[in-house]
This record gives sequence, structure tokens and C-alpha cells, in this order.
Amino acid sequence: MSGGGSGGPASSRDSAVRAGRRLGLTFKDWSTRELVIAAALSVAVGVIFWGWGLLWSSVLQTIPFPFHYAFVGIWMVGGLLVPYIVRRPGAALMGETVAAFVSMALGNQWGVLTMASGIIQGMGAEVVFAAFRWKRFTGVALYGAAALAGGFSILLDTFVYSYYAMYSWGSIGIAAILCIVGSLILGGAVSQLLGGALARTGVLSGLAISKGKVKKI
Amino acid sequence: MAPGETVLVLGPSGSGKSTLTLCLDGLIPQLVEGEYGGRVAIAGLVVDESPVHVLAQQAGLVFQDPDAQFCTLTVEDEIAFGLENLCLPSADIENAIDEALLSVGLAGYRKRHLATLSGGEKQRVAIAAVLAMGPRVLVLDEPSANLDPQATSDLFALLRSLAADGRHTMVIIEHKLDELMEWVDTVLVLEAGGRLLYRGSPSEAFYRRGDALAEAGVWRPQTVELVKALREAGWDVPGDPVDVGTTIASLAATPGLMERLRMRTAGSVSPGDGRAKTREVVMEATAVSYRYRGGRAGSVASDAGRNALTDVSLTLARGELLALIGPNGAGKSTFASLITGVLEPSRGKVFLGGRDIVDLGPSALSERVGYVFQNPEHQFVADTVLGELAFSLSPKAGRKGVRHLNSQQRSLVEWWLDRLGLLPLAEASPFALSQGQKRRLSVAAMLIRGQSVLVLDEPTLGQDESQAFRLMEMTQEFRSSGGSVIMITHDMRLVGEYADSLLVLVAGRSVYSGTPEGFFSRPEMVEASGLATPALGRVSAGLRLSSGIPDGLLTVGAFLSSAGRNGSGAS
Amino acid sequence: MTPPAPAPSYLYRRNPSIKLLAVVLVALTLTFIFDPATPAVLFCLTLLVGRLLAGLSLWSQVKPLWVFVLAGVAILLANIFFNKENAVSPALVYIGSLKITAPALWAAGTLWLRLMAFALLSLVFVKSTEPQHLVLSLVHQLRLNYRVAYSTLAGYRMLPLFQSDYQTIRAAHRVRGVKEGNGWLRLWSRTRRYAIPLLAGAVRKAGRIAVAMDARAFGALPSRTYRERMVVQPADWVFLALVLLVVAAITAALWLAGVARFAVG
Repeated sequence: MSGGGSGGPASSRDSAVRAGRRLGLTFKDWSTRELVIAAALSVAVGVIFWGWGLLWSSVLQTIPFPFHYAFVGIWMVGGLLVPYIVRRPGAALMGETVAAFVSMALGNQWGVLTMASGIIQGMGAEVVFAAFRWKRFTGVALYGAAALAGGFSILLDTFVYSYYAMYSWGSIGIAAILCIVGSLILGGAVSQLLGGALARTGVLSGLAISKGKVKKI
Repeated sequence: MAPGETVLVLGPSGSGKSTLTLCLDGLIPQLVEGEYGGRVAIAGLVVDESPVHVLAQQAGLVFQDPDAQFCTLTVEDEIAFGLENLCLPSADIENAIDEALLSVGLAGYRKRHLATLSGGEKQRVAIAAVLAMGPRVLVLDEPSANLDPQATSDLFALLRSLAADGRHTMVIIEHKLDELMEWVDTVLVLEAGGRLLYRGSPSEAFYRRGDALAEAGVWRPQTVELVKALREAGWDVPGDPVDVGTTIASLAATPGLMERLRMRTAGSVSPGDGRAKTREVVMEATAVSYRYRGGRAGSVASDAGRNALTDVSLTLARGELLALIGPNGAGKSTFASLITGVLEPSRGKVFLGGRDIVDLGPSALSERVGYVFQNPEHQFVADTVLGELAFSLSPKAGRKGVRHLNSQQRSLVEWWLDRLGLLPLAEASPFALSQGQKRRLSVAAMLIRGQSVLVLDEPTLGQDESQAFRLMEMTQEFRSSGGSVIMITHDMRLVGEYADSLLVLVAGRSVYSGTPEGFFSRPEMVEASGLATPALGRVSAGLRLSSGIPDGLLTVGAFLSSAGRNGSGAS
Repeated sequence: MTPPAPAPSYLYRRNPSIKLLAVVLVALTLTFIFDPATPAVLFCLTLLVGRLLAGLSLWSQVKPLWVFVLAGVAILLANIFFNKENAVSPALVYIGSLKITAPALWAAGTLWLRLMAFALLSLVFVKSTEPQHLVLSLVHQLRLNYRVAYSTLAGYRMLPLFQSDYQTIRAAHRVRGVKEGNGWLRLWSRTRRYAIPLLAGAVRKAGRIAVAMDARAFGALPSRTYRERMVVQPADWVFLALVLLVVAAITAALWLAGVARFAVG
């Protein structure tokens, strides 16, 4: 290795790589094009997250807990749209985390907490795609991922916001149901519709979402 | 290709020019999927057998979009990126960065953020970033496509000096031929489908194979077209000149031509003036100014409070084509936005048919003035090609289908589809069309509403000659039916050939308003505006100096009408 | 829209990963504490740190937070209506027939100040960190895959593009005679009308960037070198230790004073 090269104890690095490989998240089978497109989409979704955050901090504040949880679903889109288009291991985690980072960097109400939500929601979606061995990213897998991302989201919030100290478990339950249903619609369905519309424009040619489909023109 | 050779690759859109560049770097077949055959070798390395990192040191690629080739935030990080990928030690990287910046004339730019650079500077950084990797071959894919004339000639001067030191073989794909002709060694022509049509010297290509090239839709130097036209008119032009300098010499040496030009041009009338006599003013702007409001959502901080436009006036006559030119950031698009009602002037007024456009209201205005944006995709609102045209007639039909159109509207849409050659693609997504098709569709989506003024922003950007020609044909037809056109462009050739009048903006102020001939016959003014004279204008200026002919011949047509046929009127 | 480049300062020079760790640990501490005083004190302390160690003016720190006043009102209302202690606690005051209880006010204050502290912590972090340094540090210290890191940086560079494209598309659609509809039903069609050209453009650009990266041998070798390496210096550990020490001291002091309460238990 040449000077200034990547150092670090080789053993701990190797074991980290091995652990990652077991999880399937080494990003080895991703092409650069897939990586950059996933990143660009995630950043774009991050802007949507940020915009939704502004709406949330103003208009949606008129809706009190637990009912505003019906509108949380949009924040699952990063962990759903990106894997729906790129269809690679790690896409959900990457999409949701990067989007959360962008919405934090643009400035929102939750700050670093956004990252926590992003990582947790991304993990929720990733776990479901992993359960399908990253072979399926549509239908059951997509909506399952949406549901679990929503479920993880309300779990984190209950902890971070100490809901258990303030509200009855009944109203927390209502929030959970609304959050999951909202994630299915605003997260899952929106991702499917956007992904489909984008695929029809032809720009996604060569990516998994467009494989096996006849390319127009 | 030999070491140190400069090769210009020509071909119509879709002929595989860009594909070829990727082959040269081994990205095809190694990283991009597709069918591949044949053999590419660089410095003895066969690309499909050598690792990409070895090839990356042999061939460096520069692309047309200055914003789409960077992945870091600062100049030094960007240049370091490739070297880091090659696992160079950091001390070597530091030296290579300085050296590379020096060779592209950007010493002192090291710490700059890429976002603060102009398009021309970004392209230089892109070149530095590949030069740092020490390639033998430099491949440039339309490097000037997004640059203004000044930045383009600066870039070409840099490339020329890089080519001159003989260390790099250069492969250039370009449309702007006239500037390149002086130093290109070889021309390589591809035809649609990617077959090699020709390979050889430029003069051979354009004089012996000119017809085949024209048929393939390839841009040719204007000087070549001029010489050919003069020969057809019976003038015995010697040699086969391809660049401006040799063309001047050849024309000066043509028996009888200079005498005729001296005699004829003296009292000639340029084509634009004839139309100007019957001016019926359609649009008028009086001392329009625009100031960016401070704190406007999304405005860049430095824009706040700055005057984007100061006291710019304009009159546009029926059937007139006015070219709006100037360097990047001069306020051309802002001005276009003001006269189309997208923005409202902070001072001054815009009149359409004698009425203030503010009183006219947005919907009445959009029925009369069309504005085709630079990127056609930004203007698409429907899911299908058919829907795009239908939307212009009825927004409801654009969204929900043509059954919401009446039979007259439906046949109008079909007529346009047929005319655009898009009937078979009526149900395709507009985004999936070719660059030329997208542009023609977006123009048609405006024209179908029967507007009287059309504003075009860089209409020929990224198109080959036949596509550009078809688009200009559409606008010429629109003008002959009484429409007026305002065209923003960096293509001085287009200006010379089509514009009746010019409005030149520099730093938000109008520095010239009048005929193209009047502007281009004043080189010092052209220079000061950061623009470039079209090739034929330079030929004409050169002949004035050497042979004393009057100035201001910008087109082949103007030369021909001045020269006439040899022997026909030489009494 | 892209945050302006941060100015050099003590915080700017700290290793981004360590800084991030400090922010996360403080935030984590706050989630276990259930009283308004502790987040309020930490909020003020962060303001001070931002002013003294990152060179951020107080106004530039507070100004972005004013929108969250509304969030405070919403939290307050939610607690007045839904706090489970309302039924079993005596009323402090009645507003009409509305019973305002101490636990409701306590919970609302805690939660709101906790949010404000989170927001300010992140604000100071973002404003004192160079994105490039953060990415490098994530690669060097937290072993983030470098291909993911650089691709993300390339995507992050497109942020201003989204903004300018959005404005262009809006103008372009208006010229075509699109009328901006209001209401929730129109929201989807409008989102789509903007999203498709924006995303299509972004995907295309991303594809081109990727080719340019590949052409410069990105990922061609198993590893790569770095011109600039992010390292963790002793000063960074000192910074982290100080942060933890101060937070622990404040929490302990407030607890001993009988103010701090813990959320669990």
C-alpha cells in the first residue's frame, strides 16, 4: 500500500467487512451509476422531506396527537422509492438515511433526531426487503417495508418523545395504527406511483425497475 | 490514431459519437452493458482486456455538461479524486493538483468551491482533473456545448495549446467547427447507425465527401459552404480552404471576385432592411429594469438587491426575428421572462399590440406570447406526446385524454403530430423522445395555440445540423405566417443566418440594438461584449483589411448576392 | 438552499464523527430526562458554545428556530386535551371548562424544550461542519463504504440544482397556461407534475456524473488513498470528554437540587 493509503488495523476492518457481507450490505453489486442515481433520488426525496416538515411545523400543527400521525407516511418514501427503483441490498437504508440527512441539513424542527428517524425507518424497510432476500421489491415486499418503517417510526417517537409518560396506551395505539396506515398510502403507494411514472419516461433504462420491460422507442 | 494527433469526430445525433468515447476509455465494454465487437487499443493496451484503472491513465474523458462531471465540492478535491482512486500517495497528489491547474490556466483556483465557478472555469477544472492522471489521449465530448462564445474560444485556445505541445492525442466531438478547423489534423465521420463514413484530412472530408456529409446531417464549416457556393456560381476559388485564414487567402486570390465585391457591396441592401421598411410593431418594451428582491425564497444571497437588468428597450415587428445575445449571466433569460410575463419588471413597461401586458393578465398573455424554455423537459405537463399538444388546446384534454377535444382540435393535433413525424409515438412519454424531437414538440406545443410572438431559449442546443435545420424551418414558417420570434442563442452562425435584428446584453444593459451586420462589422464592440463574430463575418472583415471590400457579409447568401455569377454582369 | 460554507473555528476543527457522537450522546441524555429545566439549561449552554466555539451569532442560532414556537403550542394543546394525568390531577386553573393541570404543563414544557435543544444542537453541528469533512470522517472513522460516501456527495452537490430547476419548471408550466390548483386533491397531481421532470433530470444528470466518475477509475481498485485524511486528535477526545462531563455535572446538579427527573422509573 502506498503512503497516505487507507490504514486502520486490518483485522478489525476485515471483520467489519465480513459482518457487512453477511448482512449483504457491502454495495459490491451496485454499479457506480446505481449508486449515484440512488444518491440523487435520495437527495431529491430529502427536499420533499424538508418541504413536508415545513408543512408539518405550520399547517399540520392544528391536528393534535395522535391524529397527526396519519400524515407521517410521506417520510417513509426515501426507504421505499429508492429500493423500488434500484432494487439492491442497502437501498432502503441508504435512501432513507440520506434523505433524512438532507432534510436536517436544510434545517428542520427535529435536527439530529431526523437522522435517528431516518436510520430507524430505513432499517425497518431494509429488514423487510432482506427477509425477501432482496429478490422482491414490489407488492407485498414494498408494502411490508412501508408498514414496518412506519411501525419503527412510531416506536422511536414513543421513546424519544416520552409518549408513554404523557399519553394513555390507547391513544398511542391509535397513533401507531394511523402511522402504519399512513405509511402504506403516503409511503408505499406514492413510491409505487412515482417510480412507475419515472420509469415510463425512459430515464431509468438499465436499472432494475426497467429490466424485462420493453423500452419504448 | 498517432501520438499527438488531433481528431475531430463528426456525426448526426445517434450515430454513436458518445458511445465511441466510452469505448476509448474501456467503460464499454467493461462497465456498460451492450453488444460489443471489434478492438480498441490505447498505447498497445486492448481496452476489453486491461483494467479500467490502467486505461483511465491512458485516456481522459471530458463531457459536455460542466455540472454533471464532478462529485466533490472544491477544485482541489475534484482533481485529487481520480488520483486517489489510483492510490497515489498524498504528496504526489498535491504536486499533481498544482501542475494540472497551471496547465489549464487556473493557478490560484485550488481552494475555490466548484459552485462558485463559471461554466468555462468548470470545464477547465474537468480538463485539469483528467490531465492530472497523465493520459496520453484526451477525449472531449462537446466540451463547449454549454458555454458562451467567449468561454468557448478561451476553451478552444486552451485545447489548441495542449494539442500543440504534442504530448496528447486529442479526440474532440464538436459542432462549432469553424473555430477548430485551423488545428484539427483528422476528421472522422460517423453516420447514423454508427458506421464509419470517412476518415481523413478536413479539406478532403468537406470538399470531396461534402454531399455525403450533408446527407448524414453533419455540421460543416460555413467557410466551406461559402467556397462551394461561389464555385457553383462560376467563381474559380483556388485551393480547398477549411479555416477562416485560408479562406480569406483563397477568396482574395480568386480572379475577379474582389473587384466585383468592392463594386457591388457598396450600395447593396442587406436582406434584413427590406422587411424593416414595413414595420408593424407587435411588441415593445420601454426601459425595462429588474431587480432581484432580497430574501426572496430561494434567491442566492448575492443576487439580493442586485439589478439583473437595467433600462433595456426593444421593439419587435411583425414577422421579425430578433436575436437576443450576450455572455452567460447577462440577463437574457431574465429579459425573456419579463416580456413573457413570467416576471414583472421593477421599472419600465412591456406592451403587446399596444396594451400593457400587466393589464392583459396571465392567461390572455400566454395565448399571445409563447416561451420555449431551454430544457424542453421542464415544460412537459402531460404523460404522452399527444397529451402535450392536446394540453395546449385544452388543459382538461391534456390531463384526461383527447376525447375532451372537439373534432377540429383533434385534427389539428393530428396534423401537428404528422408534421413532427411523431404519429407513431403519440402515446409515448414525451421524456422518452430524442433531443431534437423533444425540442420540436415543445415548440409545436406553443405554436399550436396560434400565438403571435414566440420566445425561444437556445433552440438549437445539443442538436445536429438536420435537427437544427428542421427546427429553424418551423420558425421560418411561423414568421411567414406573420409570427415574430425572439431567439436567445450563443450560436453566432444562427444569428448571422436568420436574425433580422440583434439586441446585445452585457451585465444587464443593452449595449447594441440594430442589424447583425452593423454589430459584427465592429470587432472591438463584439470583443468587448464577450461575443464572437461568425466565421463568415471574420472572412468578410479579413477581406476588408486585405482587399478593401465593404464589411458586413455574414451569410453565404449575402456573399452570393454581392458577388453574383461570374461573367454574368461583368460588363 | 445549500448551507453556506462554515467559517473556521474551534468546533469547525473538531473531528466531525466525534462532534456527531457528542451531539448524539447529549440528545440521548435528554430523551431520558423528563423535566423542562434540564433541556432549558442545555439549550442555553449550546447557544453559548455556538457563540464562543463556533463563532455563530446568537441571532443566527435563534432565528431558524422561531417556526418551532408553533410546535410548542401544538404540544401544549395536545397535553391539555390528552395528557393521561389530567383526569387524576387537580386543576391549576380553569379556562372556561378546560382543566389545565400541572402535569400537562410540565410535559408540554419538557417536550418542547427538548425539541428546541435537539434542533439547536444539530444547527450548531451543521453550521460548523464542512460536508466534505463529514463524509471523509464517516469513511475514515465510522468505516462507511467509500463508494456510497462519494456517490452521496455527488448527489448532495445536486441540491442547488433541484432548487433552480423547481423554479424554472414552475415558470415553464405557467407559460404553458397551467393553473395552480389548491386543495389536497390537486396536491398529488401538482407534486407529480413537478416531481417527474425534476427527478428525470436528476437521474439523467446522476448517470452522467457516474460515467465521469467511472472514467476516473472510481472503485476500480479495491482501495483508494486520500489527499486529506480525517484523524481523531487528542483534542477531539478532550472535547468529547468535556461535553460529557459538563452534561453529567449539570444533570447531577439539577437532580440534587430536586429539579431533574428521569423519564424511566
